[in-house]
Amino acid sequence: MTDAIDPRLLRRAAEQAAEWYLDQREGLDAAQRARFLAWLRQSPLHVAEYLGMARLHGDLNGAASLDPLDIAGLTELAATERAVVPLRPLMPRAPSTIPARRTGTPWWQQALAAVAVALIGGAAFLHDAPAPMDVYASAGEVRQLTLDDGTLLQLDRGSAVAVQYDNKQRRFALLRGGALFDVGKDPVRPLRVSVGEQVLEDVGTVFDAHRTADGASVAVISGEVRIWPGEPSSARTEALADLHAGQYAEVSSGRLAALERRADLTQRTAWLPADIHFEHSTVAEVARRFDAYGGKPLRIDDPALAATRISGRFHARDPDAFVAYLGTLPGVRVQRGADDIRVTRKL
Amino acid sequence: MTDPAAGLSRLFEEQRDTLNRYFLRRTAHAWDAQDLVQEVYLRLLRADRHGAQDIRNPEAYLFTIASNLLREHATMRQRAPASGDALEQVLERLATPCEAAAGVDRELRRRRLGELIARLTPRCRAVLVMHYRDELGYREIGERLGVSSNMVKKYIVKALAACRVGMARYD
Repeated sequence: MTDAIDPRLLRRAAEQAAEWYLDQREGLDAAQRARFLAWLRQSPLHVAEYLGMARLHGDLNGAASLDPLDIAGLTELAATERAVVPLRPLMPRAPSTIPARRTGTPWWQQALAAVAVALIGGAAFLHDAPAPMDVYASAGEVRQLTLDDGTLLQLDRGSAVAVQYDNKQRRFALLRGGALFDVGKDPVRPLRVSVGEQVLEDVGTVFDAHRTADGASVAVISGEVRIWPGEPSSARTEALADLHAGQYAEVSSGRLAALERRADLTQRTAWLPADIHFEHSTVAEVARRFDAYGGKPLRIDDPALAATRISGRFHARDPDAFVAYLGTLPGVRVQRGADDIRVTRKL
Repeated sequence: MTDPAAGLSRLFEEQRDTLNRYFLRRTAHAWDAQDLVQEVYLRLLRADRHGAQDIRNPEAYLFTIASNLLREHATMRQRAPASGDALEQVLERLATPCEAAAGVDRELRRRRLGELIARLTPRCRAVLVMHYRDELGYREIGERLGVSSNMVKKYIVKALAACRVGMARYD
């Protein structure tokens, strides 16, 4: 109902509604009540904004509780707004304080030093983002974002990853913690992930990678991942291992330290959130999300159904609920096979 | 004497998920939000016949109009006789079939609102969070930030308006 309304007018009405709402909580005298009523009668927009404010108010406690800063932190934050930042440094800056860009410094270290991005809104931001950039997940929550190429990244709690895409390659550097990579297909640009010294390379895969004290751990949910001890470009390097779906490996000090042929993928991805939450996502995307948890893969055979957009929340470890939901859609048939679950159109 | 209006506004806040579906959704209902607001507005104007003096509590009056409209609408939709005029009953009946969806809606809204709050200017964010999460009053917040209670309220108003405008895009 905000179409075609001047944004300034809307903002003004919202501010007035907020003011009246707060006044109302404190109690109005007769004169104020009359003015409030007159304001309501001025425009349907005022009525809409006041009702909207009532609803917003109900959500505020819950939403404000998401703020990670405590009272002391907020007080400090507020103080930053008052602090006047001088445009010119008070003292001429000594040349030594400018960070030297040594050649040979990995790009992500430069990126880490140079870029401090407060990332809000994930994918929307990425379209405009100049590469490289860093993505962080807070200590309390797994962070999820989709990149332009369709790669879905789930960042473990407290993790950080540097991202650099260019025409030739898609490059990630796991700076801290771990992540699940659900790699979007791109026949031209390989996707590589640096985990410490190691480099993981893959084509069309879902895999989990974590940093360990002196190396990396990798679990492959689908597809194949090649583990390199260092940059694969140099001729001397030989791959340490090719991991296939269902396998798990640990690399330490540049050597393969452990390899599980039939890994417990549920355990390896236990850090993933307990529920899958999506909005206007295609059935195909949601199915992919479930696949990342290492259950029986869901195959959506009908293109029209795969492209259908749905919203909801499901328990991630219980793809059956999602499959059951799909089964309720008109004209949809679900077949449970030994290796996968196929979702097709009824003939 | 208890103030029935206060109870009503609290109920209104508590039932916002249901109300939202009728008032603030543009799609999915033939009888859409704009019509409803329009109707509330018209009834508010019509009440003038009896003189504005009679309306002792405009907010409660507004919420009553809105609730009555919801009830009429529910009756129309379900062809069920309006049994008693307890707002709770009506809202409960309205809420039941779409409770799961409302839960998803609420969680989504909460997250969006959380993101909007995170993007507020530092002071607006600090003041809003302290007020609504930590339940500090204007004066307490003012003392912490070294500003007057009046300024605190202004920041809250600014913050609320920014959130409302931000959320309206999703409604």
